[in-house]
Amino acid sequence: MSEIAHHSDFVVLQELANRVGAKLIFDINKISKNTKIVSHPLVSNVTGEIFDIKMISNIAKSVGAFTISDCTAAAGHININVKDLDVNAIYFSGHKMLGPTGVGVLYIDRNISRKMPPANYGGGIVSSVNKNKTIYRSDQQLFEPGTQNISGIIGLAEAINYLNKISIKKIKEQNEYLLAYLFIKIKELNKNYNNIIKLYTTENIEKNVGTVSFTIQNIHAHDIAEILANNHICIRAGHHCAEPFMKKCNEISMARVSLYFYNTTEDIDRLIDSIIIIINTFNKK
Amino acid sequence: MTNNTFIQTIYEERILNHNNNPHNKYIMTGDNIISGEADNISCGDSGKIFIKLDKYNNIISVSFTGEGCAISQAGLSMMTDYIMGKNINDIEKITPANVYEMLGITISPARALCVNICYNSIREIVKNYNKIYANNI
Repeated sequence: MSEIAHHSDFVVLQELANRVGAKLIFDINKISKNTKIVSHPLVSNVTGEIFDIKMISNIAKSVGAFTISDCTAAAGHININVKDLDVNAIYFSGHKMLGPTGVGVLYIDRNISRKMPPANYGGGIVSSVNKNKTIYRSDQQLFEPGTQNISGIIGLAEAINYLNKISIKKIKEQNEYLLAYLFIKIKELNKNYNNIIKLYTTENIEKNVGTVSFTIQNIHAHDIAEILANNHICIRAGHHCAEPFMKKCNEISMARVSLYFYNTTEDIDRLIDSIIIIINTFNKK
Repeated sequence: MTNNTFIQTIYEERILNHNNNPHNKYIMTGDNIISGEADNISCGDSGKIFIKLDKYNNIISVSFTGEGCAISQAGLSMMTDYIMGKNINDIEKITPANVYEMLGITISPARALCVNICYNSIREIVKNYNKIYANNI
């Protein structure tokens, strides 16, 4: 698996490895015939980088490993086609794509899911129930026991319809336009402030969904976020549920700007102006 | 944007001064030092307060180390000033409300954990003092 994985990916596989006595490996070059599962996010929720999952999947499949891709940071930002990715399973959340919280999507290759037992037991997953034996369904409902999060599912479907109406292609183009503008502005700022901002993102706008993590020298990410919030700019600060990656970068926390199609270059100007005020305030001796 | 009033909410001059020029920030070394440390697991911030007591259990030396946001680090710095000269019995009576009063700013629930680093370090000092004291009787 990847060191850049979100905790929802990382912790689950770490726990599975502990339970079955498997070893976690973080180097793609070490995939071997002993590798059982290969998991890699399609997009990093920290750097915004879009990874070449097809390439990783090809290597994984050559040794017969089960392939998973966390698509949470990708959904609603780029088109996702499970056939193109060539993975056995993907998942994503509703709330990262204008949908409600508490609902998401799990896709498992039908050829594999049909051989899997239910993950949880209850009503709705059965063909028939008798005193001595229960016959289970073989379709995707096998994994959906009990009453579903109906309002959440309807909300997520509406979010998907809404994004499709705007077009994911147009959203990606707008995000690239905003990214290019933001990178220019940060470069200008860094020129005037002795490279005070350190970027943890991919600056290739085509390979970035619109996510830019950064640190400002001697100013903690939580302070940046709190002050920006006071100026009605909402960013995320902390370890972004990616502690192994934070440790790799030798940072305890980062600030993250998540651009989306509703943002404008005026929003970026406001962000940069606010950051300059923060820098000047914190560096006042 | 021509003014910077939005920055003023909790980042008063006093807080920023303690953050930029912390008081008593060093690792205390030597004998008979009691320390207490705490962290904020949600963001990785940390703090450690060191004290030295005289024979009447009054604090005669205090310092701290730490890494984190302005609120957590200014809080630690201010706490070292606050407890200097106080008796360990007074330290035991410090409450979170005292810490908020000492900071003198309104803290949002989202930043409560930052303040807790300072309070929890003090609690750890009291715990460690009691451990040492219990071992000595």
